[in-house]
Amino acid sequence: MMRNRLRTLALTAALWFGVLLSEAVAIVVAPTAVYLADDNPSAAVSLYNPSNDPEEVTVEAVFGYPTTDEAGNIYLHIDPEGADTRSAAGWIQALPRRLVVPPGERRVVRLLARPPAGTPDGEYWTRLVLTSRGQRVPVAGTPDTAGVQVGLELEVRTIIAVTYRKGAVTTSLSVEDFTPRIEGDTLVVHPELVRGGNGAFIGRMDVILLDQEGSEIRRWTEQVAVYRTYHRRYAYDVSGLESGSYRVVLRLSTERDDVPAASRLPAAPVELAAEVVRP
Amino acid sequence: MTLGLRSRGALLLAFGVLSWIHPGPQAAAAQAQVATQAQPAPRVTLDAPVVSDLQEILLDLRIGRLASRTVRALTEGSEAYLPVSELLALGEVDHTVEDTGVVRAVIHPGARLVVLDPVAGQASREGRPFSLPAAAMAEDSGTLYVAASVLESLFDLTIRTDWSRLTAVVMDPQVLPLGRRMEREARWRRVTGATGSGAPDARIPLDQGRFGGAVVDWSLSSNVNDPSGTTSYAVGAGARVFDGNLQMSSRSLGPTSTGEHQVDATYQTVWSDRSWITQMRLGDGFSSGPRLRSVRGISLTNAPFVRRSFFGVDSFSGRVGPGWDVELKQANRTVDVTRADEQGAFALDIPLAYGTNSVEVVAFGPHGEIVTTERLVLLGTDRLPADAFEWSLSGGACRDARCAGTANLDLRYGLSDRWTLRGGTEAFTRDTLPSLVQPYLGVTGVVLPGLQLASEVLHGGFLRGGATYAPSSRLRVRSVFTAFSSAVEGPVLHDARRQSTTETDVLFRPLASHPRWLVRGAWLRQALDSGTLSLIQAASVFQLGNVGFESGLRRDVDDPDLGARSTRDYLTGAVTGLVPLPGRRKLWARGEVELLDASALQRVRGRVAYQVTPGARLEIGSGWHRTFGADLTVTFSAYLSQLRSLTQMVAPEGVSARVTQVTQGTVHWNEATRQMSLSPGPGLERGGISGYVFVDDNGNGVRDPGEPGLDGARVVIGGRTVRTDADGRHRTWDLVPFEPVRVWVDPSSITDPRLVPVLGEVEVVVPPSSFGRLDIPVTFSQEIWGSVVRSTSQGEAPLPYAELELVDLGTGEGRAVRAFSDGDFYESGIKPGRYELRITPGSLRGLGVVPEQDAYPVDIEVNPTGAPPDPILIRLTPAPAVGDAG
Repeated sequence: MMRNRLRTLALTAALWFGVLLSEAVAIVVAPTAVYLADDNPSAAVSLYNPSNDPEEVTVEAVFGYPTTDEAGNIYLHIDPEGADTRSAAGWIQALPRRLVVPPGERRVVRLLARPPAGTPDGEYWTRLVLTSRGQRVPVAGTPDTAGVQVGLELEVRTIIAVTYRKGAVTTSLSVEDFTPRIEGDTLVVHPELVRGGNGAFIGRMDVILLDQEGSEIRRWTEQVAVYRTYHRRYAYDVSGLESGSYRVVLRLSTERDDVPAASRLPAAPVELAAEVVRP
Repeated sequence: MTLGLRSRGALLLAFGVLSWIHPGPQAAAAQAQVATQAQPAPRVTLDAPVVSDLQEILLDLRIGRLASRTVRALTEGSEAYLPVSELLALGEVDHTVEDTGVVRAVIHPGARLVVLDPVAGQASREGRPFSLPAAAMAEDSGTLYVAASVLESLFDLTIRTDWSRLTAVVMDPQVLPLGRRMEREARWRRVTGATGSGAPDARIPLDQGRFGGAVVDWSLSSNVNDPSGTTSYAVGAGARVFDGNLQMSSRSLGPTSTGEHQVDATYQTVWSDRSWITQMRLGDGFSSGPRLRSVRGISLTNAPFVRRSFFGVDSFSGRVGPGWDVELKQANRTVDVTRADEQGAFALDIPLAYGTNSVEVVAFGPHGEIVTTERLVLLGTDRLPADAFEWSLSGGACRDARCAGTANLDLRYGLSDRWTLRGGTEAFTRDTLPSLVQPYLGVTGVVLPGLQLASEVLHGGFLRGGATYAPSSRLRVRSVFTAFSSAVEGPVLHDARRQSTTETDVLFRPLASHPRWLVRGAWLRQALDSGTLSLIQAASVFQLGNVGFESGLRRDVDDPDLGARSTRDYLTGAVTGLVPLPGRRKLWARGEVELLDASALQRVRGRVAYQVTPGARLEIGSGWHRTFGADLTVTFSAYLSQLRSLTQMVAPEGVSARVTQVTQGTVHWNEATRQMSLSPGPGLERGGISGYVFVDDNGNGVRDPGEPGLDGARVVIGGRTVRTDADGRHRTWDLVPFEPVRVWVDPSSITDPRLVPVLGEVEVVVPPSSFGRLDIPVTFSQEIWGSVVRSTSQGEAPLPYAELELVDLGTGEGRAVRAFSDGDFYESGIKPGRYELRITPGSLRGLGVVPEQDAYPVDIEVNPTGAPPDPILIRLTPAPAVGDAG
């Protein structure tokens, strides 16, 4: 059962690259990230059903974190056994684990962290998978059979991050490889980010393109989450850029608006620069 | 992939993934949607304007979440043409479709007429032509289709068309009669389903210890200029004795330097479970009856210690259209609902409380018509419900010089819900004058909902009659006439110089649309043995935003029997408002001016006040009076966590300034915790509750050594909320003693979601002048889960949506559990105990199956480790054929 669910999860992860996000969601989950600590081991997650039909929701904790493959593509690393030393999936409890959210209403799922005795200080991670399924009868027709509408609704999964911090938690970041280059009309940045400390580096990355006078020409901002290593390949359109030499500045910091200030781990910002040439 | 027959079909595949880029707001469910192309429909014949290339389509037409219908619609590009008659019918809009195809709709409230004429290609709204865009309407087979965007403008709607889901949704259903009806019916369900505050889960006695505690109020006052000669004090102590309240107080009469003190002592007890006697008071207090006076003696009564504001229910009947819905609202809250019968007659129950009851009767027609009527029902505090009888008896020594001893017997009886009779006697003994015995009789009641009458005769005292007329909240007229007797020498209960008084006052709100504009008028005439005094007053009060304007006229007439009649006219004006300050703070300010005889300045005064902190306020006032000259007053008041303080400086013109300091506070002693605490008070004649919220590890309901308290749990006591401290302790004071209060713990405030309160809401009686101890146990709950499967020819299959019931074998209470679409069921928050799980017969109707077991035992033990019990499999097997049995 668990393996099948993870397979489905992996399938949805794969689809993420090819599917445009739709505004239609079965349930709205808030917050999208939960931070727990040894002095604050519980939290509440709100589920809102904006649809016209009741939604059945199943709540499950699995261990996983985003990372990158050899080609620089991002994917969600799942550890089905939860044996990772940083896994909190086994001891983060959600109550209730199954529920129905009536249309237009809100329900609360409460989380409780119960780490085993002797758990070392540090940061532990899990993903809360909320699988919703409409209770509407899937096929509807008109009495005179003049026309038929067929709707086949499958599951919608919402995955949020849950982080548990015990004791002193720190984070830092180092960049092992930063060799940007321009290939045709594309600026390719493929830095290898390596996290230090015992907590994930959740932050932002600014890629700034400067001309020879040091004036900013372009800027791109990315959200980065470095749980261990992160070697993502970024490609930016630089069509229209004149031939010549440019400078690419990479700035990384934990300043991220969507993470509550109280939950941000302080870390020294990182800044690197490298030359690129547009033929 | 085409699933459409004549019309568009759709296959919706929904998958989702979210937020693996930890944990950005971009996290959102992904939903892939694949829609087939629409097939061409037969060309639609139109008159005007012509719309070409229309596609036929089936849409799910929805009025919000309230109603839906699959309808045939047309589409051109991204525009949907909706069948207007079906939309109006679904929204319950009053409309007709003529043979010519013309649609006439009436929108309520306001009876606004909307006309759509497909032949002329025209539309109108409230008689005015409505500008139609090109290709706004189409007609096919006698059905008028109108572009959704046009319908939005015509009917003030928002329609969202989703081509991937094939839906057209009216997003604001409350605009339509259907939406308003559903809102109304939701209110109705709340009203009809409400059972008042409901019965508590348990009524439990409090552990009150030997004393429970004690409370002391203290007060010191001194003039800073001369502390030794001006200091005065007051101190009062209260304690619970034999379940009653013993209270003693001492205060200095004037400065302590004079050495004069007054000591009072009172013992009061309440029997709330008895009907013939409910209260007894010994010692210092007030007499019974309608004319209170200070007495040292005894007082007995069967009147409630705290009279409930709720009086009873009166009926209100009327007539509207047949079948109309009628609802009764008080303070914008629906309190009763009904539906008029075939003749349009209806009757509603009005819950009445003592005081002024403003009620609004709103009648709703079937197509959104609304008729509103306002009523005001006056209910004086001297009224009793029908057949209610109350008596009071008191007697003792007078505490002032008017008499040596006094007694009162007071009887009240509710003749009906509208009329109350009151009678009794007052008695006085006096040192030099003869004793008095003065029987009295009075009646009060209503003849119309807005007209209240009252009269009373006191032998040797007075004859009084009065009426109050208040047909609505916009008008109230009150008039009282009293004729005083001169037959008694040295009367105690009235001023011997008075012969009669006439009081009339009027309150009027001229404009219903501006209820904050108020006009008041009053006339008071006193006939004395030396002449007549009259006062005529008229004032207008108008509030505009944060600023209030007052203006008025007053005429004082003194017409002595001997001497000349004198008349004085005063013209007054005042402005009160909030002055904005930097930092979003505000300064309260008021200015007043008074002119004598419309020409000479009589008085002018200004005051400002500033809330320095939430507990500290500074007020400065200055003024000038024709007789007393100028003055300056500065007042600083502080409401601190442990005491209250008032410092006031008064500096009249020509006199040295005087600074007075008053400090007050309360000391509590809690016997259960053996702790002393300070508060700003006052604390006398109140009570408290304290205790622990704790984890009941052994399930015995008592806090045993080692059972931990819960930090931060929210305890609601009599509507007040307190949080437990780190030890799990809660503490509340300032509750009404002798009265029951409801106490419950908010489960969502408990950190561990597995913990639930053992009892829901409990009711306890507050002890006087002490703390009652209430320890509230919580326990570890459990989850249950399992599945329901039925035998089929292909094997076992889950039975979705089965209705189950989990019955607590200890209490007999049942809890509904509903299976999910996959046949699994799940329930959390199950408290320890023995239960049985049963499948309801309704779930099996027509299936021809029976459960293998009638009931499945479920034993939940106190289990802090959280290991859940095993899943439960409810297997349904084919029912035995008729005749198999035996």
